[in-house]
Amino acid sequence: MDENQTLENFVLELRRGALILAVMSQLQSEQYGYSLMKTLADNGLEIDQGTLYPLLRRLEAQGLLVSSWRIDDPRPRRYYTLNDNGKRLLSKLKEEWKKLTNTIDNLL
Amino acid sequence: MQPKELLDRYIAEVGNHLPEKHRSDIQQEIRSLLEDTLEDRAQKEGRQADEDMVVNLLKEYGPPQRVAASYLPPQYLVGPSLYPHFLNAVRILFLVVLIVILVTTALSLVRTDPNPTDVGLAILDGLGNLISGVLTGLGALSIAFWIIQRSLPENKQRAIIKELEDWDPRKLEIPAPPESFKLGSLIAEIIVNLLAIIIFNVYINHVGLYTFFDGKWLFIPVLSAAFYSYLPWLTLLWTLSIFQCFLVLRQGGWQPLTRGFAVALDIYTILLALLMLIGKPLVSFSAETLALFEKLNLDTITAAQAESGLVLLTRMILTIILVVTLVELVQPLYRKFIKSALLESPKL
Repeated sequence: MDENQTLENFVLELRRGALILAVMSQLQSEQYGYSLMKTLADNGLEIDQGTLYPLLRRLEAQGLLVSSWRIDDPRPRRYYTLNDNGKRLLSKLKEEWKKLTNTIDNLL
Repeated sequence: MQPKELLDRYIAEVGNHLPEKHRSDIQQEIRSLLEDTLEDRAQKEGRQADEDMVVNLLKEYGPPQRVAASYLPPQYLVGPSLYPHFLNAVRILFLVVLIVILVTTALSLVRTDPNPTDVGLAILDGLGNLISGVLTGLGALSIAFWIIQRSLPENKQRAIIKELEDWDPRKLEIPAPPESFKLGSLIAEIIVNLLAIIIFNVYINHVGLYTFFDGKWLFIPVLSAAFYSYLPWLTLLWTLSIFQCFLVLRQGGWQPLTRGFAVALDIYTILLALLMLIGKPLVSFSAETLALFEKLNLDTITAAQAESGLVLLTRMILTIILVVTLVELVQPLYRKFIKSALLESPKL
């Protein structure tokens, strides 16, 4: 495996670790899959199309999101948003993220 | 091909790999995402979505099987919580099959009057049965554990993993010292085996009973024809034992290879001892021997009793050798596999 490939893999690992926080941060308001993907991509965080929905379902199964189908849109779309548990968890995750980035900055 | 047809095929294929319960919901979701993406791309490129655009999008999305798998929890034949138990079961299975094959191979030889070729064929047959037995057992174990894996609730699986993680460093076993050897006992073993080879091959005509009669030592031959038939196999055993000692000396200690060699040698010893124990007597009084007894003024009854006594003695010695070798063989395997399995296994 060459150096570029190794770097790419490690960067992917770093991003993967931050993905949940990034996704949850955008679900404080209602979003559907594609809109969420676009918002993240516009902010520099590309998310694999095959990664997003399984992630959203996992978060929903963990009781952090609620979802509902809307058929009045141009096509049926499933909208997701954080529930109260999700909002509480997001706030804690933000704190943890700040601690983590401080720690890593000190280490680096 | 129409873009919609391609999308339909793709979504249908993803659905084929999803459980029925969530299939329709997930398919609808994927369709929604793909159609949104397609619409956005068509807008950006200023043209209608066509077959190429759809193909590229679907390729980016990923193969249907992988997309379906991403929605499912990891699928295991034997999951992480059960895997240690599975490994222990495999070890026990191997041990049990090995013992059964050893016994059945020996018993099959007992029924006939075995010659060296029969013994060789029986060993080969035993090896074949061992391999097929282990493979069959492995298959059955895999199926059994798969059933348990599917039936075990997720909370129970998590509890098992957690139990494995609740360990006390103070309860860990003291590590065994490096596989050293006692030089004295190796040398003694080499000498004893060498002497046995020399005595029973060069001086075999002097192996028997001695009695002082009429001012001189009288030699009474006692070894039977059956013993002579085993002699090549005994010589091979002694030779291999010497070879093993040299290997250990050369390698500076017991290594996996020499340990394996020792196990094979133990199995060989057990089979041979069993054959000799159950086969024809190793000692018997020939006509020449009986004539000597007559010379010593001992009647035939006394001679018969002496012969029985000698036969019993040889069988006792063989039994002791058999039992000791069996214990030597099983003890390290018991310590390594079964004892550690029993200590490590959390309750299901």
